[in-house]
Amino acid sequence: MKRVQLLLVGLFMTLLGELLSIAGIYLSSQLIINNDPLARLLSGVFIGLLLISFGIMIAFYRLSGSSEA
Amino acid sequence: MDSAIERIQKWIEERFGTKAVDRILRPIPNFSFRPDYWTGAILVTGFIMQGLTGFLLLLYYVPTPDQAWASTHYIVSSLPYGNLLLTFHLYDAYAIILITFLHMFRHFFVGAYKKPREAMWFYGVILGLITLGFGFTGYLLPWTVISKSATDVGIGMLNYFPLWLTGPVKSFLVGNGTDAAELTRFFALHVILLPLLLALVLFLKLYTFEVHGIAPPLGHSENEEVKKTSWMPGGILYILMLAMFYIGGLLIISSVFPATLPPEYSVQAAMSVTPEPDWYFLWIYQILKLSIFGGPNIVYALILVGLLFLILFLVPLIDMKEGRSPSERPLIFTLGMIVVTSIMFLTVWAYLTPGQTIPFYQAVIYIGGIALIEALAAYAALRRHRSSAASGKAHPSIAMAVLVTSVIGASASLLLFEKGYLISVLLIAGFIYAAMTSISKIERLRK
Amino acid sequence: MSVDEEKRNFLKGMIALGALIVVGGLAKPILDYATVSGEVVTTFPKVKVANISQLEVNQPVIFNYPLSNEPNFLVMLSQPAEYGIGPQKNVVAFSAICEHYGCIYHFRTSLAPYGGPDVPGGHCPCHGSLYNFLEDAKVVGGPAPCPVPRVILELDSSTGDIYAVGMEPPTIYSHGPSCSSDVSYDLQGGSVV
Repeated sequence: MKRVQLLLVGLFMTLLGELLSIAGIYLSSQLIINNDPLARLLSGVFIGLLLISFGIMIAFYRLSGSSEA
Repeated sequence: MDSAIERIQKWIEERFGTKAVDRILRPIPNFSFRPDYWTGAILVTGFIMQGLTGFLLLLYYVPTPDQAWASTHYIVSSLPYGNLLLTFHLYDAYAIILITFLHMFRHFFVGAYKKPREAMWFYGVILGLITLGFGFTGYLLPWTVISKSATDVGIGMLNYFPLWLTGPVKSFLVGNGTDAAELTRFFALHVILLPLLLALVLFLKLYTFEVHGIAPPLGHSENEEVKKTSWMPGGILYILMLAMFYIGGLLIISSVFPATLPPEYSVQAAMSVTPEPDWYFLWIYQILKLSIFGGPNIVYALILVGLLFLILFLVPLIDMKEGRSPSERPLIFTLGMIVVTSIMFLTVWAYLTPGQTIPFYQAVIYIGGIALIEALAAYAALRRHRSSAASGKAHPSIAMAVLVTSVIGASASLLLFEKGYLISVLLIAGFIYAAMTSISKIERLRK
Repeated sequence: MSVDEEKRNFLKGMIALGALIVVGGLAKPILDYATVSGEVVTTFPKVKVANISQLEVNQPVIFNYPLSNEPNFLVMLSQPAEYGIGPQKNVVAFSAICEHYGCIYHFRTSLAPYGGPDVPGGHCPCHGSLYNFLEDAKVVGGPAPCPVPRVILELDSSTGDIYAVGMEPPTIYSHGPSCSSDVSYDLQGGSVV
């Protein structure tokens, strides 16, 4: 029971991570077009975190044993 | 009666073969779900990203001498995400080269090149040379004062060889010798020919991999009954996960440590710059700078480097004994360790002595000293091993520990200096390693 | 559906959702980068085309204006024309791109052999459009939907230099909606001369 809860929490946390990252990307996109220096420094961080969140989501998915279909 | 979804799934399976994958690709043994078994997959990910980022750069890059730097500068200064894109392309290139070394040495130390897998090694060395070719040709394209000067020095060395040997090579690389011809040819190599060759040799290597299967861990035999996972979806998910960490990590590093574009090449600007090759050629550069290879003797240095690559290629034919553990092949194992440390040492040393000729006796003392210390340490360690009853069961993590110690040592010296992108290379190596070990810890949660 | 299968489908759904979000997140930066069309200009440049002393009657000079992919004909006609400049009001310039399907048409000293009136102008070999250069490139034959746009010329009478300073509607073919009257489209989709 405890393990299932851990997995669900993990999946939702990573989904949240993805949503926050994609919000960051879209909110900073206008700043990037205007060449804002801070936005330029952070633009890749949002995209990178988006991908890493998805990677961790896959890790939790594999932990659940579902990939042994 | 099948539901609609089930019928659609059956339709897809029958035509796209989603469930037939186990007939084509060997299922993956569960022991191999550790990042150090997947350095090759990470390299393929890196190359695909180079193709994609390269394509995006091509939308704005113009390969003529008067527009090359200007178009590159336009990308990094005026286009949204342009600087991120070019920095990513550069750091991915560096990461690929770094991981190529890790990949090669890892398989060297675990003896994965032994019968029947010699072909994997041969293809691998060819791929490694293609990778260095990508680095050499790509470096010229932004036409900066550093990259164009360095490339011309590199090509200029061909002049020391007899004309009948290097004439064809030189005219292949630079055509009629004008800047425009040189850039066009390097561009064509970088964007069409090398990718084509890479894809071809990679296909052959992957086919060969499927023929033999993965080299089992030391102490286990081939064809041992082990639990396996199918590529669909388990293997694909694992690769996807590694790719997400690799690309995501590189993106973050590229964002926070953006590369800066050196000034445009011009003859005046070149006069105040000491041309140097990119970091992954520095160890070769250091050999070329030895005092005994001064002037026309540089030919012998180049021949020596050529011989070193030839020996590298022939490793599976040099070490032909069947045993894979370090205690069964102490000589070649120790030689490998010496090579790793020497390359790292030569790289740092070259960085510290730009443009300076190196007195030969210094090289003898340093490299000889390294060789002596490592040989003694290896001898002591293997003697202890032999005397224990469990000889022959050495763990490949010895190899990784050796590698990591070398990387940490070299990195520690790099930390003392301020070249921005080198710090990034160190971070890349550290990040990848940390990611790999923590992923394998996650794996253990499942058992 | 068993509980296990429900759980499995839920997890698969989460991964699919995660993947979709990744695609959405990558699309914006890539599109922002890849669809930038370069310099955006809002005013027509003033570019010298030729000197009036170089012009010969019915010998067109081809020049690009305002962008490097927008060729035009500058020609001194044998009689005065609407909007013609110069002492005889016979120097005109029009876009060389046919407004029908974008072929580069030919300047002819008379449109009569092509089924048009006996006037100098443009004849397009692709589908037979005819433009009367004496009457502001009015369409006098063929399927063209509107006249080719006129280049606004200025003559510096002290030096004899002819300058192109703007474009009249309609828009140059393929640089805006067909036959639009908004000439700012002529400044988009290429690099300024």
